[in-house]
Amino acid sequence: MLDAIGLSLGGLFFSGGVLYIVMGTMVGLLFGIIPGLGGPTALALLIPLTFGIDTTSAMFLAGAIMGAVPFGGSVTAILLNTPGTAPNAATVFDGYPLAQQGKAGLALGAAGAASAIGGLLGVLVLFAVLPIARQMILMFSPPEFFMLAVLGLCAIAVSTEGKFLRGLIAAGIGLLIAYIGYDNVSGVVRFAYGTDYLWDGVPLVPALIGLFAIAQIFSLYVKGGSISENPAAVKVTRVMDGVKAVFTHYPTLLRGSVIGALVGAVPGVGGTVAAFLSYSTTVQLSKEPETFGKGNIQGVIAPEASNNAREGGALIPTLAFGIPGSAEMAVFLGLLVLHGIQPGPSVLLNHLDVVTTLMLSLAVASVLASVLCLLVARQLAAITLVDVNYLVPIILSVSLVGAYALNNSMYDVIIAVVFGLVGYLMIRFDFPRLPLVIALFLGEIVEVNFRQSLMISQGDWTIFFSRGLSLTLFALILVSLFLPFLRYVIRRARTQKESRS
Amino acid sequence: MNLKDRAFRFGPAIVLLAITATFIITATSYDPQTRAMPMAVGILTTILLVLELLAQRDDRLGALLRSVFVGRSGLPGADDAGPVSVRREIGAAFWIVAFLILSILFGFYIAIPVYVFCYLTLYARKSLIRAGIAAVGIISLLYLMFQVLLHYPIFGGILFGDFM
Repeated sequence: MLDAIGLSLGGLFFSGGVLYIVMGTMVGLLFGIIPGLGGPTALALLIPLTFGIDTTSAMFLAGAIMGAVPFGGSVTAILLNTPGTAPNAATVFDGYPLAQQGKAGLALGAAGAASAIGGLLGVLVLFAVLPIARQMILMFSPPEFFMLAVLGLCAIAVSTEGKFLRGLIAAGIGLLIAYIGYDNVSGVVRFAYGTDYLWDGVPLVPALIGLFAIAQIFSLYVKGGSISENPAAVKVTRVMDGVKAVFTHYPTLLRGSVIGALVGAVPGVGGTVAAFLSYSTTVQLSKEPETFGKGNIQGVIAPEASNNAREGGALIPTLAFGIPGSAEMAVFLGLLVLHGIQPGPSVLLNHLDVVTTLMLSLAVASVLASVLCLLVARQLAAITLVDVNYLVPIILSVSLVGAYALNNSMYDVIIAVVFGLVGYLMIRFDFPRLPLVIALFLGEIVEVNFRQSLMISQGDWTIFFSRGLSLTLFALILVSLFLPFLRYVIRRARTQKESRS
Repeated sequence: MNLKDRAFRFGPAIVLLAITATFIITATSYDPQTRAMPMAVGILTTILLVLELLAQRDDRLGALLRSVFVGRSGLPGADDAGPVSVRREIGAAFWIVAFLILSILFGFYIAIPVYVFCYLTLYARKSLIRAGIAAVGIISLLYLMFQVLLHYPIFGGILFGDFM
């Protein structure tokens, strides 16, 4: 572990790591500030650009983006009532009223300090969990990995609120797409329909560029106009008062960070839930709940701390088991694949330096993003005034050239465009994209571990249910699948009780 | 329920059902080991899609399924997705596909400035000068980023002898 930390620190100070972190932070802030883009789009566009640089530098760049996006989104949430990313929506409730009261600097200062400290606490949680996670991985064999991958898919489908059925359908379609190409066990080519290009399967990175970057371009095309029509002429003053407020309200900060790290570690639940949970808990525990929504500084601190702490938590399932906890983490796995690192247990066991580099960059970027952003917050907010019509060709050109640059193949570009259209149609018809993306990653893990389990047991199916850990995971799968029914029964019982009374 | 609502509610599930059926039918030609997982996933997805189709029906069963899976019994209409114009969507798809075809034929160095200039003048109604500056700016940025800094070759177009 110490060796890995030493390697990461060496990379940071002697191999241009600082430069990559600064670049990643700037890009993360930019993509966080522009509503609709966010972390997954930034990472999807970044992947091809990291092909020519070493893995450590790529991790610095990716970690910095992931660390900076959450705070970037809160700038426009506070100044323009427009959250840059979905998890920043909770910051709007009290951040924007503070800006309207002429206290934008106070809100930004508090958000910046809470984000930085929350990010650091999230990394600390990851650091504390790592030794346990490494031990836990050794307890897993093919049946457990199969069950865990299925659980990851089910949990993500369940967590797509109000779209459980469509989440499972998207996961099913994603798995089918993942089975295109060579069967890793028998070597047979499947579902290629005479197309040589598909023998290696659908390439993940162009598909991710399509599903996130191009689908978002499509949405911007259709929407048109500019992101913000009427930016307030804000005065960003009293920033230090905001920073001090974070330390005055340290229980709110700690609570928000812990909620963020814990919720982040659950696959599929995501930052929006973490931020709102943290906000609502703070309101419920407050002695003055009526002041929330009118400009209470704790209403800014709680969601911001949770939002940044979540990144550290989300890395736990992503790195330990190769099960991405969010869309951002799913795209990040694509980056690992591009650099020859197979997501999953081998990352923790054989590439610990990758993990420590990520932790370091997340921690540094959380602080750097806050400092940078507070210096140029007003100028950054002006980005939302740019006409969408100028953003569209820039992002589309970078996406397509990036998709080509990966393998010097125009077929990759076609795949990116096709998945872009698919991604837009999924947004349009209200199908969640995350289960599809995660299924693209987990398809191989599910199948290979399923078949390896049956080979080990010589075709005996009870291997999945005769081992304690595997059986526990199976029980969790059942619980996650029956959760909607349970919710329905509870809702119905409550309605009947109310109608009777 | 008009045709637009019907297409909005049932269309996606029917298309996905056709895709899944294609996978299942194709899988039957593989040996049992190779087809096991795709068949299992395909059959489960088909069941889920049938449930989705039933959940979109305007009857008691549909309402019950929606209550269980969606958490509300009401039906969404085509207009619930927001004020989205289908013409605008087709226009957006046209611009992206046109850019793709142009890139394949002539390569990125010609396709990008032409696309940016045409898009900004014809679609976004920007002035010729602004569109020209944007076109030159974007291609210069990409040249610097990909060719100069990262040393990536940029596709030159099949009409100029490059391979796909």
